[in-house]
Amino acid sequence: MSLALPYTRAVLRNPNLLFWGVAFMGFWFVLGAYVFSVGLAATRSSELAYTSAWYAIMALFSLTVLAMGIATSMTYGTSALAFGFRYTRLTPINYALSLMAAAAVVGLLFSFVMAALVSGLYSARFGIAILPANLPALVGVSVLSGAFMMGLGTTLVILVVNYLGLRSMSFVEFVPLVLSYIFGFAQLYVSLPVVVLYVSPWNDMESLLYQAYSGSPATTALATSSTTTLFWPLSAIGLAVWVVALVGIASVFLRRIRSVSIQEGRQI
Amino acid sequence: MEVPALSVQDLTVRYPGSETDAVRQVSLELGDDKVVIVGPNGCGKTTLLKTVLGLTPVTSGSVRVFGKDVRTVRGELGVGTNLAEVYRLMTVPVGGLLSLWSDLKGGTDAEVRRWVGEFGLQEILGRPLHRLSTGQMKLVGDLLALAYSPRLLLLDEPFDNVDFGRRHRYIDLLARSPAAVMMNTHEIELLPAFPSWGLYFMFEGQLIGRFRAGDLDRLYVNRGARPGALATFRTSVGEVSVTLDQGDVPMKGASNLSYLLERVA
Repeated sequence: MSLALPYTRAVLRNPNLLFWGVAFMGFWFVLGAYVFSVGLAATRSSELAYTSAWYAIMALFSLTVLAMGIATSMTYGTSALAFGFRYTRLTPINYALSLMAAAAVVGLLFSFVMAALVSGLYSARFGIAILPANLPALVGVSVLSGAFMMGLGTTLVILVVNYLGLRSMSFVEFVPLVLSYIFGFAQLYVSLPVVVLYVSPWNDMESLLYQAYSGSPATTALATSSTTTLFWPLSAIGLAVWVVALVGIASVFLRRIRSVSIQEGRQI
Repeated sequence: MEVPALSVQDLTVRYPGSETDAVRQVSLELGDDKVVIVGPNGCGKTTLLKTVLGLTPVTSGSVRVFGKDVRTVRGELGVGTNLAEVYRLMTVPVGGLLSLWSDLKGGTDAEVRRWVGEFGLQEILGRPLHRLSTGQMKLVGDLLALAYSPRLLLLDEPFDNVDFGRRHRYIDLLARSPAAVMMNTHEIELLPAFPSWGLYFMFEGQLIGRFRAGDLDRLYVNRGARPGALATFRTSVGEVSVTLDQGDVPMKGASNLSYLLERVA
């Protein structure tokens, strides 16, 4: 028994998620290609680095929207989960793995749509073909990132539902996005300590997405002349540890999920 | 000794922040029998049912379903309910919901799809739950409760907003089900349809009974205790007793329990 397929279908039919996770990113890609690129050195290496950095950060934001979508959607299903774990064949680990599989598939799709958008727009803008350098790596990092976002979204929901109360949801669901902005932009412009870039899952994703697209190692500050490069296996291990930890935490705490009325989340 | 389908012992439920108990010292046991619980809105019927379903935490006492504590029961497939909120795992059309739940329950959706046809609900198969009318949503829950061969049915107001013809069709389905049933309703006038069922009244969180639904015409409500009373209980309007064949106010013809208690008071 698996919920992965129906969940994947349900996520892909969510117009809000598709708008904020895909269409809205398209808008920023256009700005990146035709507005913010003014003054960029007209060399292949700088255009490739610029395009890859845009891809990495926008794919990161797009995946973060997925985590927020999962979190919001789960708050509507707490009674179904509390009942399902008791009176159906659904188990917390089965649910977590199904949701993870669905998030991985959707993460992969989002990532590839981002890649297609950035390839088309930036190739047209710079007059040279700037295509993803390593598609298998792009698949791997997208799947892993989707799984991470599922773990993060689920953990946040359980934290809110069981311990903070649903009124905190509208605050907590923005945490992934805020962290994405902080760490995502930090890696563009600020040379954070290397250890932070390996431990932070957002920077692991950004570094791996950058390297998969450009074919070159990410640096500590992608939009500067930084020459300190990151070792991708350490980023991959960092992200994988986060995925395992979050899925483990989610599976354990899902057992105790409390049924809450969505009305509890009402603010006014 | 056979394990009861449902065993509730001295159950008290109090919601966080509340100063009163929603359910107070309730005990109830179901083997393979069927009972109906009648009470006014807000008396604790749904809270009792949600506690058995694991949706509301136990404050004190115990709830055991097929011998397993509700706090730790896992994978018990014999329980069905019509509470719509437990079916909202994700947004899918009703047709997809039936397939999904047949998978989760390890059964087939052939029977419930046949019922959907018999109840004239084919048109809703392509629509998600939130696009249904209140009555249609209730019927989907009612039919899902009966599907997948439950051994214990927990029904909350299954006839609310359901039209006359479909009410009777569902009563027939219920009568044919071999499952033990705990059904909540606030409609006393429905009781003649279930003459062989056990009957409880619920008021201010207390469960009063057990009586027989077929004896409804013989039951009376009285102010204060009466010798030989079947049950005596304390309410905010004072002590009230239930007697057989004679008393202050006959239950026959009453539409709800609140009305009866107002008359007694």
